[in-house]
Amino acid sequence: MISAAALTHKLIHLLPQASTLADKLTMWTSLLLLSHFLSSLSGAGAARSEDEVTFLPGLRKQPSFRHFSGYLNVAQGKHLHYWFVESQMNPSSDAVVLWLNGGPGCSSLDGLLTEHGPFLIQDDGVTLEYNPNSWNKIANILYLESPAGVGFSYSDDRDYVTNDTEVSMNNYLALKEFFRLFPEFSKNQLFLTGESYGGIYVPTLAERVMEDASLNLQGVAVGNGMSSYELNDNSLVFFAYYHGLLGSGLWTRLQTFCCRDGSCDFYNNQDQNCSTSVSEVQVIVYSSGLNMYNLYAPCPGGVGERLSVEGGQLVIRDLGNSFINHRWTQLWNQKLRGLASVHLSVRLQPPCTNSTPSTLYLNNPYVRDALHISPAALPWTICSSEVNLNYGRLYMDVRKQYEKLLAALKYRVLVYNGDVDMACNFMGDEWFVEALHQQVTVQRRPWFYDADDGRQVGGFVKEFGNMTFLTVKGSGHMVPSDKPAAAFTMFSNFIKRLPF
Amino acid sequence: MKTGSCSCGLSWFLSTIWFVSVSVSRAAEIDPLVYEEQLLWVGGTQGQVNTYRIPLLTFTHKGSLLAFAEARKFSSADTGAKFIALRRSTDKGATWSPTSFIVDDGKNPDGLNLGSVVVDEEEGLVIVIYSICFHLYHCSPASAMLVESRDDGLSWSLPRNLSVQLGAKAFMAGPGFGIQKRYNPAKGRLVVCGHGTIEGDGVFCILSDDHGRNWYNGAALKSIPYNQKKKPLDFNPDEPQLVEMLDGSIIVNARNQNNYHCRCRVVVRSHDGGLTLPIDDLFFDDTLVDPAVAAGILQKGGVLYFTNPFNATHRVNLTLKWSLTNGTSWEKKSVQIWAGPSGYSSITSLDTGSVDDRKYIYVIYEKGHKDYDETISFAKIHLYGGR
Repeated sequence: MISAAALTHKLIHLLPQASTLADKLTMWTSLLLLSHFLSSLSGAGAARSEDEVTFLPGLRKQPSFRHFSGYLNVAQGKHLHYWFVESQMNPSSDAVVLWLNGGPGCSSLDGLLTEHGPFLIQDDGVTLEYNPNSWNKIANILYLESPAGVGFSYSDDRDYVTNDTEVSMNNYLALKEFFRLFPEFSKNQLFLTGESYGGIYVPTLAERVMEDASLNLQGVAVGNGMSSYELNDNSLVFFAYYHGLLGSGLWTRLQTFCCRDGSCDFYNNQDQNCSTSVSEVQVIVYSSGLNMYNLYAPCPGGVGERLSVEGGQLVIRDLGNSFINHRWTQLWNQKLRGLASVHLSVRLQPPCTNSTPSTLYLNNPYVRDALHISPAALPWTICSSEVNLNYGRLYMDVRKQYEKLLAALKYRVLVYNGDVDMACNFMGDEWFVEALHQQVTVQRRPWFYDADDGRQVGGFVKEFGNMTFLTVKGSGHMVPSDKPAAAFTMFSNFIKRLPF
Repeated sequence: MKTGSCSCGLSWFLSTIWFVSVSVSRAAEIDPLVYEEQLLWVGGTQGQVNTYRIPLLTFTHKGSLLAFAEARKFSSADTGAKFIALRRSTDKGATWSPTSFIVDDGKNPDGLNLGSVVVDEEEGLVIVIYSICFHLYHCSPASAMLVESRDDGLSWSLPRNLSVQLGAKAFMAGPGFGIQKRYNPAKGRLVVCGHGTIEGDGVFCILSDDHGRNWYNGAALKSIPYNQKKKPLDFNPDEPQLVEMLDGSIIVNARNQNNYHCRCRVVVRSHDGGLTLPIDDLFFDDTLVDPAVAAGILQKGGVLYFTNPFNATHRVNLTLKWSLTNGTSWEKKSVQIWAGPSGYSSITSLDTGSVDDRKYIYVIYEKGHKDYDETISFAKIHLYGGR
């Protein structure tokens, strides 16, 4: 169905072509009747039909599915920007999938434009190309920029200090607002998905959503998620050593100072020698020029500094998720906050990530206009330093949230990891899943997908009743960017409840 | 001469008396009881598999139990993509390992079908023979495939296509188990029986005299009319289960697909280790009423056990029967394992000689409340009433 606004627009264009006055009158009458009829059909009214994207710059051909971009207004004058792309298959019956990128403080439009959206931004920052592995081929996807201060989302009071609890509440309210605007989707199956710090966002949001019977929650999926700071740090050191990043001397020191009786604490170790050794690991993993999001990918733009001043702007390339208990890290964060407060302009840039094309595209005035971006919104950046640096991390792990979800016996949980990511490495999430002590139902095995060059191993999968742990072989942090076909197969099987 | 013949006759008479008395004492003892039962697979759960069907069950030479099933990924149809699912018990069926998928046919529109499991006790091998493309649906030709485990079912070889050795004829092993001959003739031989396509149907056996390295075609009991479309009541022996008797002969108990002669089982005997299934040794067992299904049969300690949905038309009422007379007659008493919908079944037991292992047989079967293909159930049956 074409929107009332779009149809009215078309008919107005036809008007001058009507030859006689009678023709014109008839046309005006039908136009009025039709637009009245159509807007009465669209239910939740003006807001959402105004949100329909009728022309998106950068595409050679406008899409055959409908998509909407606008704001979901939540508590205390916060306006969260959403971009909702309907399914290319059967929107009325396909699942609704919420997608949240991480950070904290990074934009989900990165997921849309560079990971699994229907069209992907090209290097020129102008052109969009259709994505053959788009997740909206089988589901309606809701990309939400959260919290306020991220991307095009803003707050009337411009206060962007927030924390995990407030974020999960506002995400919940945004979801409610979405279904108020799009009531025809409220009966569809609902999945909550996300990546990276979405590992915190998704289960904490699910905890609220599962208590709301009006939302048809079916499951959650988290890609390379932050599930436990402790397990993430501890596993990373092993990952780094066994991927050839640490020398045997450093490894021996780590073993000597951080480990006892075969168990190692790299996360919260009080031993000074251990901290020193772990700092060396951090330097190698984060500052030596490796791409922490994909060990085997080059660093786009070349090796960069963790902190630099570029054109008068302070550029931070650190999202602050690792080794948070280390004194060195705490001093570093203090320093960052100090520097940020004295610099006029601060930019938070995930390391080895080229966000220039997305930034160019989304700050194009025609694009902003097409997406109905509020003049109150700030220029789009991939991550918000203000949100990130002031963020209140309240959950050190999300074990309780997973346990609650699983205890309900009706939600499906997918934890998937690209296995060459070092931001949230697969082993930490595998340990996290194992530590939930769910009964194994299908033993770890390879899973497969059809690639251009035949059937390929996608990675490995282990199933625990309603919960699945799955790796994507050779993929970094952004699985749908690195392994689009494998990621789509995985997503599709999960949503449709088919075997991997 | 006379005396001699007389004494011969007498010894025959005495041995018959002995046999009968043993049988009688056994008849008094056998009192099967469903001792424990658990569901090994539930459709739609493990691995999000749509339907689990065609259960196989075997002992291993190390005393484990292995249960197999087709894990039909996307629908309950015989065609379509599947895994071979396996669960393993090392404590006589009390607990089971999580499911392993030991073969994955991807998205094959006419994927794998089980199948027969055969244990080579001499070499400590577990062999599973299955088919791919059996229905020739978007594929050709059909092939018999083999996977084997040398570590009690923990790990499995890559699949091997047997068409090179057997020719490209459609052969669907089992469903059930194959045997390794324990007695002569052909002691040590592996005998796996199965069936063909519906037109070219019948019971066919494949044999290996070198522990599964080479296979060749053995007995063929062909349907009539062979290679022609069947009509109701045509002679069409189908899914067979075989057992070795104590005299070294093999009894094949087969599905009577088109209800020729009766709605009951076809029974045929091989005296040459599975090389032939002579028509002279074929009979219809009217006692074993059957709705045309894959049934279970097992010989243990000279007693034959038989399971099927005991009903002439519907797959319901899974029942255990037993015979003390090598299958020439069946005890009047029987044990109902499940009154409701129930389909394919298979029986095994551990034959270590321990007292405990003499007491039990194990049955695996398709079980449901509305449809028989809802779950795969494992039942441990105490043969002596729990005593």
